[in-house]
Amino acid sequence: MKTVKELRIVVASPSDVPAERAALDPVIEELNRGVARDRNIHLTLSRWETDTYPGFHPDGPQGLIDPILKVDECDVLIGIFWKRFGTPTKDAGSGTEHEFQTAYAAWKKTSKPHVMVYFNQSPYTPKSRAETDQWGAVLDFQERFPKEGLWWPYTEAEQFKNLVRQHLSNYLQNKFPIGNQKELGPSASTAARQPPSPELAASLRSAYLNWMIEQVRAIPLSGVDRKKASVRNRATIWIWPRSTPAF
Amino acid sequence: MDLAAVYTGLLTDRRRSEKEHGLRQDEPPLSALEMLNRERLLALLGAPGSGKSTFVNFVALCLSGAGLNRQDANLTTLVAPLPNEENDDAKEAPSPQPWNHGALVPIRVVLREFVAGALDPCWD
Repeated sequence: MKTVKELRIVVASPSDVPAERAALDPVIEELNRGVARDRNIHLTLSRWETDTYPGFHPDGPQGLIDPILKVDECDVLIGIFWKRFGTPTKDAGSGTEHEFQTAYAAWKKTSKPHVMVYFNQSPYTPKSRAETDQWGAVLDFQERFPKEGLWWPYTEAEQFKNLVRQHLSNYLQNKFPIGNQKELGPSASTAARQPPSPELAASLRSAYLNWMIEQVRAIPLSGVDRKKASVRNRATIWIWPRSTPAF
Repeated sequence: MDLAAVYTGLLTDRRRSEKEHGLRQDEPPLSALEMLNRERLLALLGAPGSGKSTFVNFVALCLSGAGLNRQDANLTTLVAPLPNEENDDAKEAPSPQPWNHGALVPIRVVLREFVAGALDPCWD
């Protein structure tokens, strides 16, 4: 009988990235039909808006959310930030930071969960002091990001969806490689030569094309720190005109 | 900088007659894309910084985008007309460049990385 391993993904973010949070459902559904299924893995997504319920707790709302999301016991934490950092909790600048720090502390002890953090780099103009403070807190957090970690930039929800699909596929392929031929014997070797299912083929093709786009889409500028760089469309760039006085 | 937003076509020193080499005033040079459309195998030669790699990246970007039905990079982006600097007042809209091969899946091999990988003993 086939044993299916369940991997739990938790998403943590402030409230200003609903499109990215919504994009995770179809991505996980797609992976469950392809890369995950091929490894007898089933991915589930935990998030506060669907898994928690109203109530009171001495530590505030985060005290209600923690025992349900159990971030320190999940397999993957996906953190998403744009211009809001969120509401402070008892021990952190926001609920999202609290969940990130919980996951980071657990990773340092047990090498789990795998933490994937994304920052939306699209242009934004704060309209109030409060918005400026929120954005500043995000930038502070980005600067304080642990040295062991690599965060990923994106500029729109569709790009985030493609990236997270590719990254989760990579994670599954690296963490759960499909059988060692010597260990699995000749039948596994024969199975490995079978053509992939149409769903897997489509998923692989899509992941490959997204990877290719990420390889070639930007023009590198020498002297730019890749971590701090962001992609800008020509329409969003304004270069102030300057005139040169005639001699 | 986003490549699809800023790329402009690359010209070669080939002309449609294909018999003569070197530029002639009365016949416009073929674009790199038109050459790629014509030839099954094509080596693109040029000085450093002349746009060879950027052209390859742009083709890979557009073909990948077409395969994913993306709006920002696709076959329409790939065949965008070349800018006609000599005749800005022309009444006719410039023609798109030819591309008859559809949304091929691009495979991009950076030779210096390929060579470095081939020498890696991990390949054993």
